[in-house]
This record gives sequence, C-alpha cells and structure tokens, in this order.
Amino acid sequence: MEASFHVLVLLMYLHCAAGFNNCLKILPDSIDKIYVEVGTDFTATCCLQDDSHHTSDDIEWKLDNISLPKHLYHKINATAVSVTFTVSQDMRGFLTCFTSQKSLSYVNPCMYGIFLEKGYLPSKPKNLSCLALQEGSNFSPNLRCFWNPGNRDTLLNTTYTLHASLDYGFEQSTPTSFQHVCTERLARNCTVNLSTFPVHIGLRVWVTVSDALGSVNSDELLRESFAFAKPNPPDVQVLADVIYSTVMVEWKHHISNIELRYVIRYCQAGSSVWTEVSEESTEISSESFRLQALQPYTLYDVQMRCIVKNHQSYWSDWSRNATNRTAEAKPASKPDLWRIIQSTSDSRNVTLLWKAPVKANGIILRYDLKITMKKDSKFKEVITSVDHDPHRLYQTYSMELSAKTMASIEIIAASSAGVSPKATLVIPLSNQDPSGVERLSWSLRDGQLWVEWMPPVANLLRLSEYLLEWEKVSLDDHQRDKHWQRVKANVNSTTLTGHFEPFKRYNISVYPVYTLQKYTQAGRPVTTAAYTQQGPPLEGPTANITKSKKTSAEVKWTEIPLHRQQGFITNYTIFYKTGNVEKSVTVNSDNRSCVLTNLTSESEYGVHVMASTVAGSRNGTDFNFKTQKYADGEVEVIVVLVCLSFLFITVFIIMLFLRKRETIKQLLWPQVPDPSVSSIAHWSPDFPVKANIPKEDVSVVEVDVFDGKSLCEEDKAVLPLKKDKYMSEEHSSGIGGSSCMSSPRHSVSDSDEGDSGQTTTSTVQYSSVVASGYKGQTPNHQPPVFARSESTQPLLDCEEHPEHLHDSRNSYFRRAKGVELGGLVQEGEESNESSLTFCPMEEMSPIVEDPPTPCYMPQQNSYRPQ
Amino acid sequence: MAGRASRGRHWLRGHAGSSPALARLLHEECIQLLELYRKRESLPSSPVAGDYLVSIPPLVPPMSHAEKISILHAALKECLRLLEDVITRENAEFSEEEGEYTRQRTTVKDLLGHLLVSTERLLVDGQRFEAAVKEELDGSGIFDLKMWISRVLQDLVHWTGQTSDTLNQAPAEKAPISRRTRKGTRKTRN
Repeated sequence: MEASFHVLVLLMYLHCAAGFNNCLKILPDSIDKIYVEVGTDFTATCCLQDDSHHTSDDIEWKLDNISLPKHLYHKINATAVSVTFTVSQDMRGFLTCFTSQKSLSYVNPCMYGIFLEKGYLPSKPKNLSCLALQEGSNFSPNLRCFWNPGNRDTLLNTTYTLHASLDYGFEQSTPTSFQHVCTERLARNCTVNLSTFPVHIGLRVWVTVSDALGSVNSDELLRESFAFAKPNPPDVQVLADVIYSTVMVEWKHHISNIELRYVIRYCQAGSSVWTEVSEESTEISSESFRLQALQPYTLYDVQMRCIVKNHQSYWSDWSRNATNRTAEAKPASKPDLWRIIQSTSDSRNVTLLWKAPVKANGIILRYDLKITMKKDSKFKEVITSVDHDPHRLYQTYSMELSAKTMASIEIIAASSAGVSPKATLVIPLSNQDPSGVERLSWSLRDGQLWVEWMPPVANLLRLSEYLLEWEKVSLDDHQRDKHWQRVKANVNSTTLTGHFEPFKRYNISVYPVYTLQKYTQAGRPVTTAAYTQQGPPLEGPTANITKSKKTSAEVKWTEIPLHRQQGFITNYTIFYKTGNVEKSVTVNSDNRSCVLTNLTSESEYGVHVMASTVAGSRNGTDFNFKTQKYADGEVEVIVVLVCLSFLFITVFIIMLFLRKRETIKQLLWPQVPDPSVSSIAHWSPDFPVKANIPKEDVSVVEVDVFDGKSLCEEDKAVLPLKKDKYMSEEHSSGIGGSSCMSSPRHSVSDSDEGDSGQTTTSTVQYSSVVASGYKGQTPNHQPPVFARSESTQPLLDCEEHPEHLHDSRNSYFRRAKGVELGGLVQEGEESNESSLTFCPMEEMSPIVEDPPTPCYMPQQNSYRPQ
Repeated sequence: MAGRASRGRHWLRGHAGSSPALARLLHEECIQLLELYRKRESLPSSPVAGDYLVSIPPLVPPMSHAEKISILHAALKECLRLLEDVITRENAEFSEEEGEYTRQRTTVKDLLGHLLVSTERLLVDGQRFEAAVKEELDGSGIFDLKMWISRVLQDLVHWTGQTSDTLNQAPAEKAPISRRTRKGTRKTRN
C-alpha cells in the first residue's frame, strides 16, 4: 500500500516536472523524504521563481491532493506564500503548491511538490539492566542488556545502540568503549561484546535509540563490572557421614581467580521448608561444609548458590538438589501398640497390632514381644520375636485368651542401631473394661472427618489419651483394615488423618486409654458410622408382594448391602401404578415393608421401591401384582347368604303350603260330585226330554280356532250352522241331558296331551245340556235345563265302558294346534288326520237317543280318586 | 538480582583497592596462560633458561610506592607490547583456531590493558620511567619463536606478580574524586 503510494507520488512528481514549468520551489526542499513529527506544526514556503508570470496571490497549497484552507496561508511577500499545518497520523505526506491561472492570457501552470514522512521521536528506554553470565570458568564478555522501549512505535526505522564503556574512576583521554546496534523496532534487549569481561573496573552502560527524527539516550548504568555478572551455581555433592546426625557437603570452585561466597540450604527430602546456612559460615577458600543436628536416617536435599565476594555480583541460581541420607540411630519412640478382641462363648481371640515407631531412626528389623498372662494367681509368660514386614502398615500377633485371664503385653522395636523404648498394654478380664466416652458424633470439615466426644465418667483410673479406631465396612470381614490414631487426654475432638474413600461407610470407635502403673488399658469403645461423601445407592431395593388383597397389598423389600448403599438410607419410597395413575408412599429407613391401601380390586399394579440417601435415590426393579376380586371372607358371606335365602324361601313355601293347605288341595284336587248325592238321580222320568230333543241340534263341540283348517270338508258346511247355534245359545261342554252326552271337558287349557286328562289343576266339570229348540224354536216340553255337577266322583259308566273313552276323545275333543305342534310333528300324518277329524253328528244320535241312563264318561287320567 | 552489590558511582570509593585485585587476578591469569601454553606446546614446567626479557631499575626500598608502581607500570607496558607481538606472530605463524589458550591469551591482554589504565593515576606525575627489553626475538625458527613466547609469558607472570605484590603492599589510598566529564562517546539528541 505504502509502496504503491510512493510510486504514485513519484509519477506525479515526474508528471509535474514534465508538464509544468519549474517556476515554483518549496522550502524546505529535498530529493529525499522530509521527516516530520506527528503532532507538530510544519511550515513550508512556496516561492515563485524570478521568471514566473504569477503573483503570490496565484499560489495555492494541496496536501495529499486536497486543498489546504486559506487561513493556513501566510503571504510573505509578492512571490512567497507559506503554509503551516499540524502533522496528523493519517497524513500521507504529499505536499504541493501550484499557481492558479487568473489572467485571461494563457500562462504555463506552475507546480512543485515535496514528500513528508511522518513519525515520532523514539521513546526513552527505561529500566535498563544488564547481565553477563558465566561461560566456562570466566564471565562471558557478552553483556546482555534489557530495557523497556515503551509502547509507542516511531513509525520510522529505529536503531537501538547499546553502549558499554570502561570506567577506571578517572578521566581518560581515550576511554575504552564498546557498542552494538540492534535494528529491531521496539527492541527490548541487545548484547554487546566486551572482548573480555572486565573485572575490578567500572562499567558504564547506556542505550541510544535513534530514528530520522532524532535520538534519545537511556539513563546510564555505572557499576563495578561484577555487578553485571551472574555466576553459575556450584556443583554440589552430599556425602553421608558415619555420625548419624550429620552429612558432609562438598562443592567445587568454578570461577577462576574470583572469590565467591556460598550459601547452603537443606531440607528433608520432599519438604519445602529449607534451612539456610549463611555465607558467613562458609570460608571463602573452603570447598566443604558439615551439616549437623540432622535427623537420623533421613533423606536430605541440599542446594547451594554463590555470589562474588562482597556481594558484588548477582546471586547465582540455586544448584540442583544433592541428596543423601543420614546414618541410622536407635529408635527414639516406642511402637504404637493396639489390640482387637473378639470374644466367643468362653474365650477371647486377641490380635495384637502395632505400628513401627514414628521416630524409627533407621530400618526396624524385628519386634520383641513379651506377654504375661495371669489366671487365678498363676502366671504364664510368652516371649517371642516378630520380624518387621515393611510392606505392611502394621504387624500383628494373635493369641487365645480365656475370659478369666488377664494379660499384659510389652513390645520393643529393634534396629541395627539399637532398640526402642517399651510399649505396654493390659488386656483385663472379660467385661471389665473401664467406662467409655459419651456423646460420640462426627461431622465433615473441609472434606475430612471431624470426630467429637465427651470424656468418660470419672473413675479411679487415670485417663492418659484417647484412641480413635476406624475401619471401612466391607463384605469380607477379613479385608477390613484397622486404622487408629491417638490424641491427648485433654482433647475431645480431632480430625481423622487417613485416606477415606468417598461413598464408603466407616465405623469409627473411640476408646479412652487409661494408665495403670506402667501399663495402658483401653476402656469400652463407642462406635458410630460415617461417610466422607455420600452418594445415591448403587442399586435399589429388591421387593416383592407378600399379601395381595382386594384393595390392599403388602410390599416387602430387602435391605441394600452396606457396600452398595453409598450413604445413609434416609427413606424408602414405594411407587405403585395402575393404568396411568401412579401413587407413592414414603416410609422411613427403618421399615422393610409397607401396606399399600386403597387399591382397586382385580387390577394389575406395577410396583418398585426407591431407596434414598441425602445425595440421591435409586429405584429397585419393577414387578407386577394383581389385586383380588373378592376380599377375604366375601365369598363365604355370599355363599352363606344364598343358602340362608334358599332356606328361608323353602321354609316360607312350606309354611305357605301348610297354611293354605285346603286351598291348594282344592286347586289340585277339585271336589268330584258324588253321584250318589247328585240331584240328577232324582230326575223324574216324566220328563221325556229325549223325545223332544232334535238330535241334530245337540252337540258338544269344542271349537279350536287353530283348527279351522283341519276340519273335515264335510263338516265345514255344517260348522257355520253349528256355530250360529252356539253363538245364539249359551252352551258349554258338560253333561247334557243325556248321560251319554256327558263328556268331560277341561276348563283350563293344557297343552300336554298326556296330562290332558291328568292335570291336577283343571277341574272336570260335568254338565247336562238339555237341548232347546232349534233356531229359536221353542220345544214343546220343558225348557232346557242346565245343571252342573260339582261331583268329584268318577263317572261309573265310564269305568264300565272304557272302550268309549278313547273314541269319545277322538271324536269330540280337539286341542289347540299351537300348543300341540310338537306333538303333531312327532305323531305324523296319520295322527294328525285322525286328531283333526270332526265327528259327524250322526254318531251322536244313538247316544242322544239312548234312554236317559246315567252314564259317566271317564276322565282320562285327569281324575284321581281321593 | 545482586544482593548487596555496589550500585552507582559509589563503587569508586573503593576503586583504589581494585587495582591490586586486578593485578592479582591478572597475575593468576598469566600463570594460567603460561600453563596452558606449556601444556599445549608440551614444554617442561620448569622455566625456560635466561633472564627476563623486560628489565627495569631495581626496586630498592628508598623508592616510594608511586615510583615503584611507575616502574612496574613501565615494565607492564613492555609486557603488553611483547604479548601483542606474540599474538601477531602466533597468528601469522600458526593461524590458530579459537581455543582455551587463545581465549586466555586475549583475557590476559585485555586485563593487562585494564591494569595499565587503572594504575595510570597512581603514577608519579611529571616523571617518566622506562623499562627496557633486553632481547627481542632472535632468529626465525619455530623453536626460537616458541622459546621466546615462553619467555614473554614468563615475564608476564613475573611482572604482574611484582605489580600485584607492590600494589597489595601499598598503603590504603583514597580515591581521588573524579571531576572528569565524558568526552566523545556520548551522543545526545540532535
């Protein structure tokens, strides 16, 4: 962009030179760029040459091809006009002056231009500092200096010249100086070579930064040359000493002919707390130093640094760690002895546990154990040695101890340098442990378990300390690792220092430890469970239905295994769902069952149980059950009620029968008139009824409306006549004026042919019909008499002439077709034809013409002797 | 950072004591240079036979300290000249590559120059002391050159040692207050 602009300017310049008269000139003038500082005023003067035909009034100025305002002009004289403007950062810098033609005559135009390069004066470098590192056994002659160049870019090419001059403390005619130029813009460092690093000589250093607009120097640094030097750290070695609490530190002088002072610092390996040995403690000429009062058998890191004598130089960096271990000493503390007692019915399994002494001061090789058992004033002593296993957190020794045996244990730790003090413990008789602590509680502080308790009730023993024991609850009791720590007797709360896994349950026990003479004895433990971090259970409860009823069901579930709980179970929630309706019941964590009520009978329910901790919940597996249709005993009640109802009805009917016995009897067995008492027996023979009765007018017909079609054709002609007669006269089947005309007739319809003569509900009525005159003709004799017999006695004549029974029935009785349809289909055509035959009137005549002999037609099966 | 290292011009207060230290340092550097040369040229550690190349008037007790320094200063100037001659000849004859010896040689030359400048203010004003070089390089053989170089280096060890001893035996001097102004090298903004 800038290059193209320059090319453009050059072309314009050439164009001006070629096309315009050179009758103008700008001052200042340069074939190169004219550097101007941004923000300052710049003045240029345009002068008309002597041969110009213009005046100063014709002169105009343009900057970057834009006319400058007239008020910036200053007319100097008739041939010169100056312009003053402020250099801006966005200025491109092509300044031209030209003459505008105002006369009518043609005058060659005049134009002249210069190019301005804008920029800033360089900033003064600040915070100058220099450094000469050690190279080999001398300081490097390369002096590297650093400074802060400021943030403003000069926009111009800038050089940083680093100067170094030797200063001998007095005036020199030709001072020895060195310099180096760095051309990087905004350079922050530069290195000057001094040929040889000057020693014991003053060194003056400064930086000059320059651009086209000017230069500026930094503040000078005048130091004794060592002040710029930085030695390398010494090479350090640490040698173990036979004396257990000391090590020997050795190093090498590494800068030739220059006196250095050294500082030593040391710490236990891995620690960051250093102990420093001042340089005054190390002689200048010495190359070794013995560190004393160190811990035995401990790794120590040692570092050193140095500086030129009298602190003339920079401090070197600290050397790398030189590490070594101090020699062993005898153990300074006793083993940490503890026990686990597992009581059985008549003995105790005692496991002794002990940790290595805290201040082992070496490698523990073995433990010497002395156990003295006392039972009924008899003593037994066991002395044994247990090798130290460095891979185990603690060592163990198990023994059986009866309930009535007291044991005192002594143990010492032995290393190659000696033995430790003695640790002791008393195991009292069974159930004779002193009182325990009270109100044990725990909480979390900064993610660690904080345990608090109250002191035990005062007793005769002297409380010496508390022992806090904890173990992770796991499936396998054998995998439980015991951990314990001790706190002083005046402490009633502490943080358990150990690695506690989250989501795991820990049982924490606090034992008061008493002192009994030279032995210690533990009191009764108080135990609580704790988590460092709780989470939702890993699995849900496994539940099932134990009692399913009509509207309720009992859900039972098993407890989630402890190692899967991940926290304290706060409650259980039972979800049960039928259709789209889901309900839930929450019970506390003590419950293992729940009765679901208000269920819908004979419904399918889906159930699952959710276990919750403070950190979340977990659902158990779903299962289904169905409620019953009847509640318990409901079926039995229904059966009993039905039975009772049946029994009641039965009894009621029986009672009814008993109370209405006569009525029912009459209904079932109607009273048959006794012919012997019948008044017909007293009929006077003077009534010749028989002679006056036209035989064609007497008939006993039962017309069945359904039999209209089945009547014989020959009868059809007669039927209307008969019907008319029947319609005009009240008549009925029954006993006619002749005993032979009497015929039984059912007064109630009965569809059963078989039962037609046997029904107990129909009453056989016997009527005597005395024929009257035909078609309104009045007979000469006595008016017809109709008498009904209420006798229930059988007709004797019928018994004497049973052969008439069948014939008469076939001849005179018809039954309803619809009722006997079934019977008709079964009997066939013949039966049909015979049954549907209408009897001719002639057949009746002999009967009518018979003398009026009492005659009873038998009731076929419809009558039973009483 | 430097702990209690001197800062600013106050280091000049002890500057009088810096010349003895520089002389001592230079003496040790010269010893080291001679050892390096003997080692490089496989020369015996015993001195090469012959007197010192540079001769000065005897430093007798009646002489003042300044006079002694002035005489020694003259001797050292000759030593520097001889050393520069050695460097020139060695570069011409052997065209040596940069190595420990050449670095040490440069160090000695520079330090010797520093010592000469730093002891100028201790000289006796208005009195000129001369030192003479009794033997210049005789012959053009390589062996002669190496023997001559050994003798030059031996002279360096000797006269720097003498100077160091003399300077370190001198009573404590107060450094004159520098009233000079800088000339030449400083550039100011135009």
